[in-house]
Amino acid sequence: MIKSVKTSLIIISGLLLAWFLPWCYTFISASPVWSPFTLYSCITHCFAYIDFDQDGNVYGKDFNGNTYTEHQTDSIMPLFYYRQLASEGRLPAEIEGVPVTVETAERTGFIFRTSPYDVNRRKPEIYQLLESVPDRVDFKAPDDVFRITDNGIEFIDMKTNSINGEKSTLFTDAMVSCGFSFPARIVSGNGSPKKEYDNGYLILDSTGRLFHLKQEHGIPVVKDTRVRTQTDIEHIFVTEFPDRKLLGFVSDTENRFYGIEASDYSLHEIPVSGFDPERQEMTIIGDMLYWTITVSDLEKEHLVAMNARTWEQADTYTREQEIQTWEKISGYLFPAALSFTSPLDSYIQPRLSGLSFRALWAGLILAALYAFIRRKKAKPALIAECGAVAVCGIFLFIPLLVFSPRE
Amino acid sequence: MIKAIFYKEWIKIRRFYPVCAVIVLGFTLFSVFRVDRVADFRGVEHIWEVLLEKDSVLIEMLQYLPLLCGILLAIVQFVPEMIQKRLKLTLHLPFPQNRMILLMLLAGAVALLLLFSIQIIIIYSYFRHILVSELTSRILLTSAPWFIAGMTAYFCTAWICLEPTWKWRIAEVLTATGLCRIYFLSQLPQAYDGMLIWLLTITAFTLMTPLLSIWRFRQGCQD
Repeated sequence: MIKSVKTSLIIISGLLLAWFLPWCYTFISASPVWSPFTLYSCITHCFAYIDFDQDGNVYGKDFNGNTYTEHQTDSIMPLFYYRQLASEGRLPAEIEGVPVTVETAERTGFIFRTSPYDVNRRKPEIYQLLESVPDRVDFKAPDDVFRITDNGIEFIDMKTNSINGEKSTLFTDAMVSCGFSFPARIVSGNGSPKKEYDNGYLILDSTGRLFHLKQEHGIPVVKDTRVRTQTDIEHIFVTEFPDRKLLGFVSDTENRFYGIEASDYSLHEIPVSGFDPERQEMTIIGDMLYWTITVSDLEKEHLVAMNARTWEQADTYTREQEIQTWEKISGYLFPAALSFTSPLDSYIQPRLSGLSFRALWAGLILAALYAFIRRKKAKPALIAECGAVAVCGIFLFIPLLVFSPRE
Repeated sequence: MIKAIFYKEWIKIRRFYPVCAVIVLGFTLFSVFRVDRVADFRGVEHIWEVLLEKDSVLIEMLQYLPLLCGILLAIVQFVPEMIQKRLKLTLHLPFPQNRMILLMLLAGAVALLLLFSIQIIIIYSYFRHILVSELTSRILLTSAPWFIAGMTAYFCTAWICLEPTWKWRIAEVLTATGLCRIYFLSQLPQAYDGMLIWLLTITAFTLMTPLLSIWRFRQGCQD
């Protein structure tokens, strides 16, 4: 038994080092990766980004190689810097034939963000449904929450922690009469009362149909959106942007990404050529003319400009993330790296990454060193230990030196 | 003999354990009472909103308490054995040595489990009255690694205390620190749901490590 405890101790210490040493190395040597803030210009019809010169002065540059002063940069991105332009009296009256005012620029501008870290996390399957038509201007936090079970929707009064049978039956009946099939596959909405208006919830039923649920004057408003994506819907994001044009975004199992209009539930595919919300981050900076969509992951950053009026792609650009020198060196030092956290999710679980055969040379040197240090040891055990050091490198070299008997 | 071993362990912890129990249960009651006061002042709805909208389970102040209990209990139980050179006598008793050590560990583990169980019962009993089962289980699942860490810390500290040489003891402290760190990598609710089985495996391994120290002691390893 002692032999197995010892072996387990050596293996566990090796695993701890496989976690700790690469972490230490990354902590010391990693340098920040910086991507310049890039937007599609509705004036130059080209991507342009903000940068800083050696004196720290701001300047703009577009992908055609043109350089702009800060003043000019404001002008080529008028719907982003509209306040600055308006304060200087330089806001154009119209762009591409569309009238522009500070009010319209303010109302139609939005920023949408989603990251794998937010998507891949365990959330309680309890939701708050606001009264969408409140008596006062501001929303009031609801007194109840809801959950969707196999048989219906249940409202639970928070004060008494008991099910409100009457309201549950009312909403369940409304949903069933609209064709909703319980249970729900996905429930998405924004239960916070700190917003201008309420778009309610988008709920995917058990048959894959997308329903829109709201509460108006305490009455359920359920609508079958009749939204049909090419494959099953996998993620839903309800939006509440100031211009009230959009109801939300959905992505399907083949990573197509769509926008749903609030007025008629019309579905528009967004030309990002593949977006996996579980692995990629997305930022959309939109205005009334163009959206700049950035889809990024650990390998690359894909920029897409979309015409907001036609839902068609206006421009695209891909920025590959270069592997940094410290990452390359890491491959020569460590045969692998163990980690428990990931930027892609919020779960703690063991994950092995960075498998590298280039670290074999370090393993062989350490194995030779180990053989020399433990030369008095019996041959069969020594050969096995040297083999393990050759493969696992420093991760087993240290535990074997400390915990394995000398002879 | 088993009764005698348990009695001996009780004598060692009889002063520490009640104090520890009062502090642990006091903190647990305080954290629950604090939530209750917030519910009184701002309404129980506020508690629900915090749980639904924020990455909090409201009892974060209890996070390191089981760990601390585990470490202190093992110190109280095993440091006197080593300082007063009683371990040699214990191991000379007409009883299988590994079994003896495992029973000593069992006594401490049961004492800890009792404390942790009462903590869990207090937390569960309070929250199940004011929250739905989904949120109550969210709180308990989030706190599960803290309690498992308490058990792991107990076994690791026993391992370190029983170790006869300083060179190994330092290596063991580093290993135990690394192992215990795994239990506190994230404060996000339910982040450890998929990891609980691995955490229990680590605890099961650490239960066996004091046997290694005893084996080394019997082999005559010393500074």
